[in-house]
Amino acid sequence: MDDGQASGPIPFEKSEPASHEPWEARIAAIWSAMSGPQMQDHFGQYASSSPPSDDPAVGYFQGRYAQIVDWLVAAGMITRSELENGRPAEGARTATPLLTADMVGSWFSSDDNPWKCDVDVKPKFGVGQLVYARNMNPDPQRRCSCYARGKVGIVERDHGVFALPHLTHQCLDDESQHLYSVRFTASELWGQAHPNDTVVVNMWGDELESI
Amino acid sequence: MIPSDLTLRVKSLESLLVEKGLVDRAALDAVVDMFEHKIGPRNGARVVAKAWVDSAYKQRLLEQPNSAIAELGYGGQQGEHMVVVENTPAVHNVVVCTLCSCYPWPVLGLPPAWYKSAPYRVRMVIDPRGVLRELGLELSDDVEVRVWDSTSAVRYLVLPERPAGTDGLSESALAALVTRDSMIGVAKVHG
Repeated sequence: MDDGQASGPIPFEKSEPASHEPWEARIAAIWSAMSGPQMQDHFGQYASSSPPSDDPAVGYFQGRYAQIVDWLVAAGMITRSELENGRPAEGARTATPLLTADMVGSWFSSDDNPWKCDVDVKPKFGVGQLVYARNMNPDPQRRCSCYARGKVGIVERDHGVFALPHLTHQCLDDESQHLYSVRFTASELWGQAHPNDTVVVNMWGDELESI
Repeated sequence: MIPSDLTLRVKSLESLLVEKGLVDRAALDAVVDMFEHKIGPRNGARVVAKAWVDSAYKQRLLEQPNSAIAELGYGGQQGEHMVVVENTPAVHNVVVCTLCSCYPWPVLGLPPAWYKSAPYRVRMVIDPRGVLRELGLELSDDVEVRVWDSTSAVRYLVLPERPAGTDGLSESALAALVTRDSMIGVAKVHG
């Protein structure tokens, strides 16, 4: 994201509806259905990838449309030719939907947490402990609030053990970690900042070091 | 009215996915119904109002937010691990998702476009007071502004301060005062 895109005014709308036009609700539903737990095996790797475009010329839902098309093509589920023609290619296989209407209610209300793990991992840090956010570049790459790297903060909370983003739904013994909320002063993060302001960032255990 | 290009594109995509057996149209209808009628900030407003009138509930909400929210019948997708942060005269909390648009669907519904916008996501962590001022909220210098950067695994709900002069109001009347913006932290609740 370049400074120009991020420095503009907030497009604030009071009492904004969930969607302004029916197609927005529709693409949100398609994205939600395709990135739900039922489709984890097909789209898990994509669902943890980057958000839609930050280009202000591309609206959020328009970006979601482009993103879901890219996922579907990359997963081999549709082709761009089929999309352009508006119909399946001759001889294309017909699948069976994994999400049906009768499942939606229980899916939305399910407390099944795809990220939380029931794995015994000893916490490396305690609440109130001073920690340093390591300047690291893990493989595979993780999306991160990277602005906190190289900074010193205080552990605000230990949320427990979670699966790393690329391993959603997979609680592997040697890959699951404690997820911490770490509070940094704004001055620590940005240099010149209001002396009373703080930012709390979620960070994995291997992203932190004791001081 | 001539449908927009995206109306046609999304309709065409949906039809293709239905024809290929990848989505069930009735399931999509049910998901849209969820978005419009089952989840939304009126759920969060009930949670806030109950916390205002019932100190034991408020304690449960702060200590075990998922189970406390579930007491009112709310919970589930995109709110599997909740944290509730309480505004006080000394600390004003506000939520952002710098990486994308993580947001507690069960209690606030789908996030508004401004919450998902690049300017909000970038500027809120760098200049929270400037952003709040732009959105109509001025905070005094002695208040700590605490910005919570949400991620997919953890979703935040701000418990706003109860406004003065509301002692005689019922729980439902209090809930009617609570706005979505106050539960994100970009506004206060007014009596």
